[in-house]
Amino acid sequence: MTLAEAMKGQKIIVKKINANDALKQRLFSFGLVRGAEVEVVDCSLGKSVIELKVGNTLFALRKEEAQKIEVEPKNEVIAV
Amino acid sequence: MQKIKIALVGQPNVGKSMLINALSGTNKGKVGNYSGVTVDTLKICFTYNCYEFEIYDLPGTYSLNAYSKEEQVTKEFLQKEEYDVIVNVVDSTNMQRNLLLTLELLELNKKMLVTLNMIDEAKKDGISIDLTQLKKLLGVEVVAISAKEKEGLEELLKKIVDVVKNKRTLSKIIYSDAIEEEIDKIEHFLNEKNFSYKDLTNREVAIALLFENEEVYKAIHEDPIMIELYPILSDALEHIYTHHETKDIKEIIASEHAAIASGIAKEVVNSKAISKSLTLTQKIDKVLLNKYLGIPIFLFFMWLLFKATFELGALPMEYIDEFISWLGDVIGSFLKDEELRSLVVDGILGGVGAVLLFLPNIVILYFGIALLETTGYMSRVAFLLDGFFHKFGLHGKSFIPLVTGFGCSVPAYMAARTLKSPKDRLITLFIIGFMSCGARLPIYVLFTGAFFSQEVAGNVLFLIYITGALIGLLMAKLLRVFVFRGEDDPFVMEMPKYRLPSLRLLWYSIYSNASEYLKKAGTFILAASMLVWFASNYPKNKALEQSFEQKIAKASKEQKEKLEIKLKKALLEQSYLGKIGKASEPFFAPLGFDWKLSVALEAGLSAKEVVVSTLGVLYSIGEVDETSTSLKERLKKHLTLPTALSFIAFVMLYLPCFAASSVFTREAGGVKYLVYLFLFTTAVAWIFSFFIYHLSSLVVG
Repeated sequence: MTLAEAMKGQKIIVKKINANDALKQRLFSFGLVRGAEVEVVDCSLGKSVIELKVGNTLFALRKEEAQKIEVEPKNEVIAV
Repeated sequence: MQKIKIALVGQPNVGKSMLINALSGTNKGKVGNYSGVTVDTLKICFTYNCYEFEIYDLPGTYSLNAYSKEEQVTKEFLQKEEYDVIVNVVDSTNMQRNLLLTLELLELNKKMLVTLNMIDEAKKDGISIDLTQLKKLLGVEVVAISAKEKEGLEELLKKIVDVVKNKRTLSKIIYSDAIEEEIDKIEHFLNEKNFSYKDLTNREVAIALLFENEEVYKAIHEDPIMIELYPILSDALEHIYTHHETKDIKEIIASEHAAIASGIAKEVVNSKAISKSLTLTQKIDKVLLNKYLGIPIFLFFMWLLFKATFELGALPMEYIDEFISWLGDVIGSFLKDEELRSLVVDGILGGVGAVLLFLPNIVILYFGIALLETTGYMSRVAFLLDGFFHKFGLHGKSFIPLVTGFGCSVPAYMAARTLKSPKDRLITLFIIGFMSCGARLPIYVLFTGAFFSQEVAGNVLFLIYITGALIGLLMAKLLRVFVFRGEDDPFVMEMPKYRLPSLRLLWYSIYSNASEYLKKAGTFILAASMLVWFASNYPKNKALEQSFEQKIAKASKEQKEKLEIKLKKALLEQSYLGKIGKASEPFFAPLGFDWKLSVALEAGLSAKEVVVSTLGVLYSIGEVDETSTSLKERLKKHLTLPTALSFIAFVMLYLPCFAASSVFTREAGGVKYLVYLFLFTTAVAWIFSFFIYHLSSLVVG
């Protein structure tokens, strides 16, 4: 799945970033690298922009860009 | 005295400018709470302990990859300039991400010092940082400070001196095993060959080679060892590629850095609870970024701002107005010479006074913009509006320069540097002028006050600003479709934590803007008013005066007054200014402007306040009882509502002032763009005014 498909409040793990070089670098500098944990905090009307949380950083990303990021849902370990 | 040249580097919004202000005791660095407040290098000098400090406040940058134009400024400075030490400012509340830049800076192999700023905020958030351990892991000096509370500044300066005086310490960063193994191999080879480059250790050279550092490559290229080094290097890279499952060395470096930063943060940062301020920020965002309410809330804030600008600003206005009238009467009674009296009362007080009247409005508007800039709300609005802006061919980030444009176009043109794509930047530059700046506010307040009731004037003012903004959006769309076609730029933007601005910061923002306004009134506007007065009183026409005087002498008392007015009108029309106005009248006539309004608009090309001062001078000369009625009432008497609306529209849309135009030319990259801007804005202003004039004439009847 891509980041654009993630639900609000969902935590996911980044698998692969298919963006161009410049965008990739920018995402890296926010800490969004392969293996990073990302939380979808909010989305704007029509889901055109989504707000993400990586570590302690909040940042916004357009849907078009989010579609370039392959992710997988984080497997939550349920405490017994 | 020894000079120390410092490059102040850090990610955006970590408080570099605030630190430079705190260190130098000035307020030269503009402070705000969003990324991209500083877009150009600012140099500040001061002395401390017999050392001359020369600090360069560089635009914030997330990494050294130069994503946008202002980040490029930083990258080029670091690579090309000579400096003694890098002071890396780090946000203590967001260590992990900030360390990513720190790691890149360490790889530059320069003398460096890490400054943990906002340590007070970190403490409040329950975060403690092990400085000794951090120093050990990085290999460079670490100081914790709070620029806001002015804590630790003394220690910082001392440590800077120490770092400069002592030998460069080496980075202690350890990469992943796969990379370390290759570093060892290359380092070993270089040692065997007795290779050395500048003051770098062979380990540093090895890292630079693996990370494809161009400078080191060039140096090695000319060395005979290249032939032997080449297979070792390509072998090493091959190993690293296989290990990281990608051939993109930049991505490999990024993931190495991410792993190291996260490791260091885990080791030195001890946060007891989940960050309180971050949770609060997310809670506030739930409301302000709400899907449906977000934009209405933003519009409400803007409406409130303009309502306050008009209504609160009107309170002290009355007193200023009365004071200026009184001053005119007092001075007028002392000055016996008719010419001199006219210069002082009509020219100077009429012009400068008309501008001074609007100081309260300006103060309130700037207060609102300062709040927007310092709380962190600005980036949220960019988030909310990106979808909408995108439809108009604009970038969400364009919102920041556009809002800055409500204050003044000069910083707004500069702020457009945060836009990465040149086309986005140009479109934004072209429409910034449609965001009515603070200097146009007096014109609006004057006209809305004259033609609308007190209750609705504030709303009309809001409407004027919104209309300007909407026309700007529309024009952006046209430019995007017909002129600047091209690929969309990604929207990636940090949402800073909400912060309450300190009173000192707000006060400073108001104070500096108000004093700037007064200074302009006392110098530029003063000179312009005198010029306008002169141009409207000269050349004298003795023959005309005499012919009228003969008539007046013969006339009855009633006719006398009429003749006097007629004389003044005739004299004004044959003055220099009158001739200029008459010459350009045909161009403005279809918009309903007489020659006085035309001249005021032309004079407004120098500065928008001059429109008001020119009207002040022009409409006081033609009057018989000069100081008893205000400019507002005179306008009401002489102009019709359609003319007033048409005038507002023209002012809203035509070319910004001279200062702004020259900054525009520099930022856009050539005089040809200024010519385009002039033609573009004049055409848009003319067409809109034309429609507004004729439509409203139809409605009013």
